[in-house]
Amino acid sequence: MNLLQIEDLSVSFPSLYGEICAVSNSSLSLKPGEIRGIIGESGSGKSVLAQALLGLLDPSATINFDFYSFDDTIVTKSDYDVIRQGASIIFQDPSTSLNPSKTIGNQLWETLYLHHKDASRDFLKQESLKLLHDVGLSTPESLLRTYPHQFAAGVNQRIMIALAIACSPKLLVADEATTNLDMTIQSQILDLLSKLSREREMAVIAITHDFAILAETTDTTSVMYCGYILETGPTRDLLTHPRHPYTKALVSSIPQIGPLRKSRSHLYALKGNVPPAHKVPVGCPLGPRCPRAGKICVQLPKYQNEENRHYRCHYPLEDSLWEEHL
Amino acid sequence: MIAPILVTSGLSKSFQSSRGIFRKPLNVQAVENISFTLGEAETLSVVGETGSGRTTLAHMLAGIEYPDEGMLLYKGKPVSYLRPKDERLLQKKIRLIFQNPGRTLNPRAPIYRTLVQPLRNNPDVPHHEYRSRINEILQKVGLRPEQNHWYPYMFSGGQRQRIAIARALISQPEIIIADEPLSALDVSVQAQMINLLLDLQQKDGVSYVFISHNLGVVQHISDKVLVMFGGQLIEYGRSEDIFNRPGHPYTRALLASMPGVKGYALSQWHPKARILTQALSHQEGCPYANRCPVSSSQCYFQKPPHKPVDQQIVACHKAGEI
Amino acid sequence: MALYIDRYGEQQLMHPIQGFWHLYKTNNTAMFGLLILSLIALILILSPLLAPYEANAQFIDALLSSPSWSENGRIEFLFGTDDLGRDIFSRILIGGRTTLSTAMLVVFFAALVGVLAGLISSFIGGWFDKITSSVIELFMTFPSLITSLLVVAILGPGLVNSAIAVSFAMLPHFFKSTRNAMLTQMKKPYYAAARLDGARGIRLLTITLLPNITNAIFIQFSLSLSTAILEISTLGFLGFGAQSPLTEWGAILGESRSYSYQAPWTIWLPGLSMLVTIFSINLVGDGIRETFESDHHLR
Repeated sequence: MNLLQIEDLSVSFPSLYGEICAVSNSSLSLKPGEIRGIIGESGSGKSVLAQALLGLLDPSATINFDFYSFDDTIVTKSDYDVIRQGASIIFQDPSTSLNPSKTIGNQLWETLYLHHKDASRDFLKQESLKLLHDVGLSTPESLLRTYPHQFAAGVNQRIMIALAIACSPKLLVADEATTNLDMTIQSQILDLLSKLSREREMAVIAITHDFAILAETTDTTSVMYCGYILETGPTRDLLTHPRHPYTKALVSSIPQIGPLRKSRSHLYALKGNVPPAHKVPVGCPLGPRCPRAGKICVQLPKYQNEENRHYRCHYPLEDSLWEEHL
Repeated sequence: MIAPILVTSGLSKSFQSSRGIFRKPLNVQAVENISFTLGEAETLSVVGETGSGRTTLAHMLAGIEYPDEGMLLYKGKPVSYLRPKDERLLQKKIRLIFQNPGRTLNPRAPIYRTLVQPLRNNPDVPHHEYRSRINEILQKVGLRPEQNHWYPYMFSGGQRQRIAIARALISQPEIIIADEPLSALDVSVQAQMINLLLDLQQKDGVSYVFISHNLGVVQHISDKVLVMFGGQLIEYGRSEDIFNRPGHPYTRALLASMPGVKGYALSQWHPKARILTQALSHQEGCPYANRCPVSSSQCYFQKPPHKPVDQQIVACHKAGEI
Repeated sequence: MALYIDRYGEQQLMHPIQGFWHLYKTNNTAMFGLLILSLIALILILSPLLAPYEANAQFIDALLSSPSWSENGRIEFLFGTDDLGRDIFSRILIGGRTTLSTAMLVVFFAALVGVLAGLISSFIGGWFDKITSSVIELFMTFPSLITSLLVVAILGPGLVNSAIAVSFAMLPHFFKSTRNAMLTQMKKPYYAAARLDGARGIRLLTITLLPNITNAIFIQFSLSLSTAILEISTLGFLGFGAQSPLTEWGAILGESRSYSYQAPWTIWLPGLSMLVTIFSINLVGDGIRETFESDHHLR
């Protein structure tokens, strides 16, 4: 049974260029407790997708979907309450998401109060201490009286996570939640997210542009490009045997770290740049940049399904072919 | 042995941070005692987290800031940025690519005007050659010559990065200092840019000082690696040595914290237990002491010496023992 | 920017000036303002041809005649006449020419000196900048009307003197907005990069910095134009500005203020023309500012 399922989601915005499509015909399904990575370059629509799922987009956006269910309840375009109660989101920059003029304790109590309207003060305090403990902050008592600016970004991001899980959500969306952090801190936060997901059976959608994060943390991965989900599958499988040329290009364009790497060789790089949202090519969005593209690629390929894998490509890579490329 | 083109020894820089009129300004040691050697057509990577002093180091090498202490030897000769003659020479030979290169292009000038400035500064280049030089350099970095009258906003992020590289290359430098040149780019563009930098190095024999936090990129392109933390040198050596046998606890933690690392048995160094994130502010001991899993009281009160261990230099009291 | 044109078979963003116009066009109120303003400008430029009479021609038989559309009005005096029998329509046309051209000159002069001083002061920086800007800020603490009254009091009344007074009062604003813009731009990374490239002195000032502060100057210019019209008219109204036989909007108002009950048209018609002019200038000014702000390429 899926925790979240959405079919054929499209999001478009009015702009000076006319209507631009930020997310096109994307379907997504998520099991309870699953950690899903959504990877894409800037402008691929990954953040818009997540915000559309939670109904957080600007009213000027046009959202269309065929079917959307969350936690066995149908979500309609006019009614996002189900998902808003069952999901929370953390953003890239914790310092702007936390209220700088309120103590951390106050912010936690406010959030908790929304979900436990008749609870006593003591109960709220106990709960908030427990939350801070859960996100790995060792001296929660003293933290309650402090202000966000007194901490480094890593600690603030933990506090953000504590706020986000305060209402025991079934889904946590992490929108580039570790991008601004130093690498040692980043890995701590990622560990925390996967630990929380395991403990609380909480599904996580981790939006990122960093493949290394995916490999380490996520169970499954969706690759986005120009608003389309090009490939979805179990992370390890997807990274080692990509079906879509774009996934392959991404994987091989990143210098991988390891003790015995051959360095200074040319990296595999797709030609050209990511097209801006108003210039997305007709048909397969990768078409003009794709080394395998043929005439048929001016038509948008349908999803092809293969066990757990779904991908959108007319000329998917075979396993054997992939070995050759290595 | 390749002749070193740039040698630094004991570079230090501190800043005065004002705390109002009535209190003594606070002395912040941004960079302390950094020594390294850069050979011709070599790449040295400086690795460090935010606040580790890597940008200050880059600025000192590029002559934006002057070191308080220490020597800078360019081709064996000591240079002082305070002498205008040296400054002009070094401005030509040592070029800096900024952290967000897109913002270092004048938004209201066609890129031709930006690119011509280093040439004007160079008396060896006659006026009539400006245009051909610029066209040549644009082609070299993969742009079209007729784009020279375009304004910066007309280019994509990756192209702007190429312009920034072109701007650094146009005075035919020997050393390029690149401060996080790839961090603002998408992965597919980043790969294009790494290839471009490697190509240019092969063709023109440029040396790079490459400042980055992306260990994958660092390992891919560099000959030497210098790890910094809290303004201090932590470890310095050949890239293979540091990545295969990291000697300092911090370097190990850094490698262990890189997600997606396969083949390192470094999990015990994974920075899990201690969440304190700031480097120690007082300058007495090792800046990493309060996060280090093997620190002892000595680490808090005595500055670790730069010990040679195996092939690299490690600044740790326990170097070689752990 | 929706600023694409086809070139070399691919799309390219427009030149900043093209882009500015392209965006300005989409702003309806600003376009309306521009339309009215250009109409007014056209009428005033052609006013010697359009005005039916000399500005000072008196018609003794038609003292305080009502506008042509009222019951007692006469068709040959479109906007009626004043107490001396002068045709108000002609006076508005010819007086507006004086007011507007003086205002333009005043702002132009104030901008020239103010911007130059602001550029030099902020570019040199240090103590020089501190002293210059403090002195000029001291001027700004006086209301500009007081400053101009002071100058007129010293130089004596007259159109030229009042113009000098107003531009003197306006100068600090240009200085200040230029200096602020310069200080912002000088903190930007491209400035540091240009200096590293070896750009020095006048080149750094004119090529690197000046194009980036034109926005601020343009906005200040459009704001000042309406202020200048108001202040010149104020001085004229008080009798310190244009002296007869020269006609000027403020002077027209001032001369007829004692007849405001018997002949309200002598007040509200010149007043209305002034209002429309200033309103349209403000619309255009706002449009310019909004256009600069609406697009990050232009900002």
